[in-house]
Amino acid sequence: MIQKKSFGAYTAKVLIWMIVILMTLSCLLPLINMIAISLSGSSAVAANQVGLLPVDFTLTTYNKLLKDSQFWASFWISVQRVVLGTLINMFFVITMAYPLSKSKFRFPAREVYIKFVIFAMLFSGGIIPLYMVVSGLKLTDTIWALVLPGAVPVFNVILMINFFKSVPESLDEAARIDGASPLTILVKIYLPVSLPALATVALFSIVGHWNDYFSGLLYMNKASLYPLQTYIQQLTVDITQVTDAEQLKQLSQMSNRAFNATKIVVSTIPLLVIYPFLQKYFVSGIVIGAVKE
Amino acid sequence: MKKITKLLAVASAAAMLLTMVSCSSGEEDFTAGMTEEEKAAWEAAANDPYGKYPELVTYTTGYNLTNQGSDVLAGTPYEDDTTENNAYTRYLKEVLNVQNENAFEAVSGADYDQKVSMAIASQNIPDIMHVSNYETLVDLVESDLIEDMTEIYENLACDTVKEAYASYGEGNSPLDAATFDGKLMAIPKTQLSDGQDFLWLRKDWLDNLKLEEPSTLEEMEAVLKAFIEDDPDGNGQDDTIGLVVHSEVYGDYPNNTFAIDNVFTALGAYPNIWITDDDGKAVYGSVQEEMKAPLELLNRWFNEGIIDKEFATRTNDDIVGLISSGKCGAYIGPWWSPFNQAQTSTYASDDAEWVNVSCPVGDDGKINAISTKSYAGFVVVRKGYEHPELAMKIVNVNSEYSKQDKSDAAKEIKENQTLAYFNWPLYCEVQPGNNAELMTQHIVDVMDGNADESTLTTEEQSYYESAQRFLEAEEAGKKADSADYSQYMSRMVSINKMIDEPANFLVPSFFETTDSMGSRWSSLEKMEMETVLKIITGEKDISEFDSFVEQWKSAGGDRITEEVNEAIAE
Repeated sequence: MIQKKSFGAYTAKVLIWMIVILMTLSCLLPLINMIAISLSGSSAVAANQVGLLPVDFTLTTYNKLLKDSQFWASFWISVQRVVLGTLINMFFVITMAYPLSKSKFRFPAREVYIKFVIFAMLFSGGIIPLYMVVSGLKLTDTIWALVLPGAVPVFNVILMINFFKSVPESLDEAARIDGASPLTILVKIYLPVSLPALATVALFSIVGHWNDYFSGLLYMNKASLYPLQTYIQQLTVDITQVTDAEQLKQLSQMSNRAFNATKIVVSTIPLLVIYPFLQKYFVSGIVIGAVKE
Repeated sequence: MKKITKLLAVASAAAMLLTMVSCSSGEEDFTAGMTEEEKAAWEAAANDPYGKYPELVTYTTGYNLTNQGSDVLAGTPYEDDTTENNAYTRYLKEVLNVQNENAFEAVSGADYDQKVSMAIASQNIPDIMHVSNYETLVDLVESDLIEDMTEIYENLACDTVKEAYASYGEGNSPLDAATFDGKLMAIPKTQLSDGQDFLWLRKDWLDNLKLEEPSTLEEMEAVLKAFIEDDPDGNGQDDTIGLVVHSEVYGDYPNNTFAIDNVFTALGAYPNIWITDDDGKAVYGSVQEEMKAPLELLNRWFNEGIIDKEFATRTNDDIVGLISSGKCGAYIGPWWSPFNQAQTSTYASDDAEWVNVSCPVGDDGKINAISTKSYAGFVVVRKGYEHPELAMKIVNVNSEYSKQDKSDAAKEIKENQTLAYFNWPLYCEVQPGNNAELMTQHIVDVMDGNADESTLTTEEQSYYESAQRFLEAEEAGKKADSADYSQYMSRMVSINKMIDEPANFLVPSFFETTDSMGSRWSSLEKMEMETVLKIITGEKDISEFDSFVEQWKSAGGDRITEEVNEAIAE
């Protein structure tokens, strides 16, 4: 495409780049700082001397982490949760979004369902009723408590509905003329052209499940069953009042920041690994050219 | 923010309680079908402070963990211990023949409190549990979910426990808080009296500059000035700052290390607490006329750089960093400050020497301090539980028996206290308010040769050994282990000063919260702290303090003050 570059367009481009670079830095620098802290000696960390490069480089905290059995147990619970939770989420998102993306002529009750879904997105029963339902169903202390309460991510359903709507109706019609059942149309036509949206939604689920610490705290009554982020969160709880001598010891060890940074760094690795693999699906315009009008 | 979520949790738990059906089905008779002899054996166990049950008694409870992370146990003999099988639970099993089964477990503090709220909400409280706040206790009492402990306490509390409660004095007994209509509904966990805050100074800097230890506000100002201007670390660079100040300038006395309540109290202001005015009514300290003098002083100190210019934006870690890196040699903190990394790191890396000074003092030459409340939580027993006396017996073991026991099992507990991952399954030790001072006195007696080592309790003995190790290392010209440094400096140096230079203690007239506080207190506190920061940093003139007071009163302050007075009258 040939475009005449005016001065205005040029400055706009520079501005946009600057903003993008600033945003990138604001995400990247804290991460680099965390990595640097995890690799630094603890006295340098306490003195706040660590910036973007490690001071007194050491791997002791990583060595220590290898021996921390609860960390790895929690890590494993989180992995299970992500796999199971994402599969369940994707199943519900797809099977719910597809019919709801059809017009009300083909699916008359559509409006009722949509309102129901949106209502559930805006209002919730609150923590305590939720807890009572989960504990009443005897799900507490099981992996199901972590994946079932959020089995239908409504926001993702709406994203998916909108994406399915943008798929040309003619594709659907053509397939129906060829005698395909709705299920076949969904699996053979809609899903392959929806890979970018599916990758996005899957990523939301993965990140959401991996980063969520609160449901672990709420539903797990044994610390040994905590998923990873809950385990990390509880290490950073403040001690506000010293009531007995045992707490003094904790005070002195509390700012073991290098070790905590190590845990955080290691806990982000799985997500950093997953991103590049999903990246290739973020290609738009797959349906361009599928229909000739 | 934390406070709000806590209040919400409490409020919602309270709401749930109202809709709850009573879950007590009366006393469950576990003695049915027993022979007379068996019954007598159970009876005897139940009526003896340390009676061992004829058969294993299992109780459900909520377990308080520390935030250490279980990795502290790695490589120790306790690696495979769990919350249902660790040194503490094994000990209780041996002494009382009881075993805990955890309905839930969580780190002490907000996490644990939330579990308690959830347990109450789901109508399923454990047989025995610790609750950390007064509001929850009130809820439990009002909804009739917990046992009356009056008789059990009378019959079974050991002397240590009874004396400990008595040590708080008539008006401030922890038992009062747990008494409703003359009935004792819980066993209160005592709050260690925290003593006064001190001014912690780098002794080596004082020596370098040939300065005396300060005492009054003026002397304090002179020392801080010298710390900034006269190059106390002798490195030829102008790189030191004066007094570091917490971004929450005051509050939570004396737990808020780096906060400077003492500067306010030295001038007769008592911010952030309820005090009694001349008419005998409760008023809020932060909105009194006395606040103006310290605020004006701090504003001047800020302008002259005597307090850290960037204090309003510093985090706790930033402050620790300033001190650790030797840029600052003065802060205000409690007796256990040597446990803070700010001190341990300077001890290990530099030749820093710290000293705690009674400064700034009020008119009579003493520090004006604020008392903490006498209770730090409550142990409650589910209504209808067949062994309600068990709670009292466990508290007896925690507070007395285990400390005098010198067996191997008790040694395990001592070791676990150093590792500090597990707590007692029932998180409640009852100690006299001045326990820290008492223990130090006992240890000093032994060190001076006035008493024998065998007179020490197991806890005291571990501090004694720590002190010995520290002194030996120092004598050999080596650096002691930082844990030993912390113990020695806190227990032997700092507490000794607390004993030698007592402070004036003001007991706040009210500690708890009232109804309107739930919705308004956090915004009032925010308004207060903003005004204080603005006045100190000079963004607002001191004359605007009066308009803040007006605004505070009309925005709910007056109503809350009324409620507080009503609550006190009750």
